Amino acid sequence: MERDRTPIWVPEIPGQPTLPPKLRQQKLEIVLTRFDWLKEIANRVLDSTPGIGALKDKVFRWARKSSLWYMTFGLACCAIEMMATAGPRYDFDRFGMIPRATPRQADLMIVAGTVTYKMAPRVRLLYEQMAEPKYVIAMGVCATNGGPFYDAYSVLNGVDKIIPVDVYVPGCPPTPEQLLWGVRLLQEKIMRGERARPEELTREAMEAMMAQWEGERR
Amino acid sequence: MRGAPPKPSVPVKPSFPAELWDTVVSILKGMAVTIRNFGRVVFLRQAVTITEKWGARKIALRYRGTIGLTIDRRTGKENCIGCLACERICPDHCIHIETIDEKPGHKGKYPVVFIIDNNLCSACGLCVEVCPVPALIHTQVWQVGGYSHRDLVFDKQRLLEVGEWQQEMWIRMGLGTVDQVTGKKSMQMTDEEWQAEEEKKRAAAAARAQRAAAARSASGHGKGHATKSEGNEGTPQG
Repeated sequence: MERDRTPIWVPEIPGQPTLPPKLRQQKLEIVLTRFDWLKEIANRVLDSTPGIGALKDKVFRWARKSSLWYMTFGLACCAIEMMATAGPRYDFDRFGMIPRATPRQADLMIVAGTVTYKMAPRVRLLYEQMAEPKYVIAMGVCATNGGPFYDAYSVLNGVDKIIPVDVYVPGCPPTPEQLLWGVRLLQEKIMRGERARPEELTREAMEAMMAQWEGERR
Repeated sequence: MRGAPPKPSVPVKPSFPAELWDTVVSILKGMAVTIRNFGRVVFLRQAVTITEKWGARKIALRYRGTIGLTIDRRTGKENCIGCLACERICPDHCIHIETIDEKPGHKGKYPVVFIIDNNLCSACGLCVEVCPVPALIHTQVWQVGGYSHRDLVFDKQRLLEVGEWQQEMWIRMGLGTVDQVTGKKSMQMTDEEWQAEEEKKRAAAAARAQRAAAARSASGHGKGHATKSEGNEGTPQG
């Protein structure tokens, strides 16, 4: 049966005998799935042992909450407060939070500022590029609900229309203490093991919304 | 006839040792700042970072935090008279009020529903400014945040709690009641009641002054013996 899978690109080494493409693909799949099997076995052993399953969950959550590397998504003036929070006075580093400029290394996205319709697909794309588990903090009233620009022609009223948001931190802009408060709320949520995952916030839904907005504009 | 403009003087290129010296000096200057701060934090314990784990800096008196509703402490009634000025002026339309015309014992209209949506409120302070009575106040509360939009919508109960906390704070700091802080007059008291209140305050002040004068004269008669014993009482034992 033909499996639906994106082809994996394997570099051809000059001078080396190459396998036919189908075989090469199969070999790579075997290599990739071997680790999955190992993971599966380890998980089953751990979960079946009494007392270990809960402990494992707890340890993983603790690890997640105490190294929340965040992606700096400064879109407006809230970014200044976010920078102030990362600075030496309110040290983000003491909570294990390090700013990352790339979504691949980030666990948390702090959407700080006004999200315009033009920026919305980029926000979504960067969110999709983040590795699981991923969390989102909507910082400032613009990111939570549109704020003072709720009536503007170009502003998305709330970033939760396109990506699932874990914690809302209102304020215009929120003080560094308030952002730290939001991070604390998020850490408590992580320790409880909850996730914000509404099913309707798929990429298709967002694209449909954007298309509708484009239609309205014309 | 004007002559040619003076040529800018050619800067003399500093010699290599001079440049080297400059480099060393500037590095040392920079390191001195670092070392001074290091010493301040590590040895003198004058921490630069706010070390309380989730703590705040000292919140200023005029800090514009989340908004609260007040009650008049002398009469125990809510200060709001339901004039809807705040709802009208709010640029984000985050205030929602529903009033009834009469409530026994309450002067003015009475707000049955008073909701501030903190999702939208940017704490601009226009509602506090426009309020004719000391009903709406900015508080020093910054612990606002939640997991959903509904957590951030403050109803009347919540707003009154926040305002009550702030009033208590102001009284403990010695700034007086909300009327004295905001400089507005509550409508829940008539002018006569205000007069009586002022009279009472003045009498209390006079009595206090008299008592102080009496105590001073008494200590004067005691020829320092009394003051010495007072001083001993004042010092903590051990």
